[in-house]
Amino acid sequence: MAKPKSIYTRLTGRKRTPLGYTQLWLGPDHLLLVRNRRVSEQYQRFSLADIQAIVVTHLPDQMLLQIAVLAAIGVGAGGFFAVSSIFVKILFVAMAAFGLIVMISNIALGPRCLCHLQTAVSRELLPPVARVRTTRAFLERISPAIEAVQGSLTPEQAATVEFPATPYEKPPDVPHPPGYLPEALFVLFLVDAALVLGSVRFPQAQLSSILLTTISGEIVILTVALIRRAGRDPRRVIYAVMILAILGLGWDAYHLGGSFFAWANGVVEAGKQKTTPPSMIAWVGFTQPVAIFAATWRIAAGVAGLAAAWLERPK
Amino acid sequence: MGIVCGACSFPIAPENWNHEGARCPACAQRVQVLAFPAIKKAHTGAAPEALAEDTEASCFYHAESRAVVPCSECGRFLCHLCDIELEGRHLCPTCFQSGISSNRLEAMETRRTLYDTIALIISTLPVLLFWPALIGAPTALYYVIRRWRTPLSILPRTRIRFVLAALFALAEIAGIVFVIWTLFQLPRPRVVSR
Repeated sequence: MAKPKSIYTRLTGRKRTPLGYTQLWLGPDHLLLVRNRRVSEQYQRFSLADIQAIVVTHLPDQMLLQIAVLAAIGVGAGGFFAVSSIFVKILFVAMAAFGLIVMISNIALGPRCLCHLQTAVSRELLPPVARVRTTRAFLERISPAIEAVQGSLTPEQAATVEFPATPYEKPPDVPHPPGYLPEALFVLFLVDAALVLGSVRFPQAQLSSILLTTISGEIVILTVALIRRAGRDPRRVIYAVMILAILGLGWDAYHLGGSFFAWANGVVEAGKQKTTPPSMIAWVGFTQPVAIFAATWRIAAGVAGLAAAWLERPK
Repeated sequence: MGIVCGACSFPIAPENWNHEGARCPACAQRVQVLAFPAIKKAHTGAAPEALAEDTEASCFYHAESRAVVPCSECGRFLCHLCDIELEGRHLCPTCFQSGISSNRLEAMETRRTLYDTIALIISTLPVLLFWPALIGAPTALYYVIRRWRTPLSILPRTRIRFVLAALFALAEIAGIVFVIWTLFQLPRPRVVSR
């Protein structure tokens, strides 16, 4: 017996998620949005006669993600040359390769967008149409199908459509008082400057271990502060200080990572030669010249940042 | 509902519809609006017509409304309000509801269970812990036999997962039988009496 032919033709590829995927199919008189949840499928149908509009909104580039991935690749490549242990080298290569794959695939897929389908009573996001290239292919196939049912609407006809009166001018700006995250970061810079100097002056106090945590805290707060800045904080100088601080943090991370992996290598070598491994206390995060530089830029950034934050804060 | 920007939900004026390169006035993102004639339609359905004469056929559900079409399932006369058009057929609300309840209207199905995927999962995952396969393999085999004829996705889909699940389950059952048989064949430790 011949297998019955499906009434659906595929419109887009699968937009995968950890729990399944979504996909668009074209039926004889409707568009089908399939949400697969591995063990079940949910269907949402949009009659071609009811589709009022398809709205495609282009999204900004993922610059921050690209920078983060690039930094991960840099750390991976740097770590590969900095360590001698084969196992750690493999870990670094894997990290760099993963970052490279993420970055290349993101660039290859092209610019991102949101695609909404509008009917008289609903406005539905179409998750499978999330890239501009996919959207073009999707529109090339769906538009003729809709126009075959409804006819077409020229821009001149569209301009005459009466819609509920809405103010089309730019909405008034809602004031967002800037938070105190930058100030917290600059205070942390000053605290870390003291810790860095303390770790060199009192090497037995294990301040280097605390430094790992506080420097990670600096990175997190710095990232969050920069992300939250958009549209919220009109101050400029403090963010210039933060961007300069990124260079200092990169320098610190390079030296801190180098000394940590030198200590870790010592542990691995001791394991191979069956001698006593060096204890965590033996790990010194910063050597004296590096520590002086790390403390100096932190004090400078902390003081300049706090002063600028106080002077620039809107009254 | 007005047409709004997908990023900031700000209304997009009709002058910018069906134009390349329009931008949202609020967030300045590029917005492409493809509008179709349905947007000009009135958003109200057709009202039922009142009976002009007593001899006219009336709707089964609304005695004062003129019937326009019979139900394709039960033959009851229906007015504009009660007529549900689906895939070229006209259904009354009762037949429509019973069609949904009994899954006879494929065009109205909103969810289907993928039994073939369930069978494949049951036949493969328990093997990772070995002994759970004692239950998983027969259950998967039962699922394959029980659900072989159950409609799967409404999209094109083969039964290859059922076949694979059955093959895995049979292999596991054979493996379990072999392990048990081997355990029975092992020489028993002798108890030496002093």
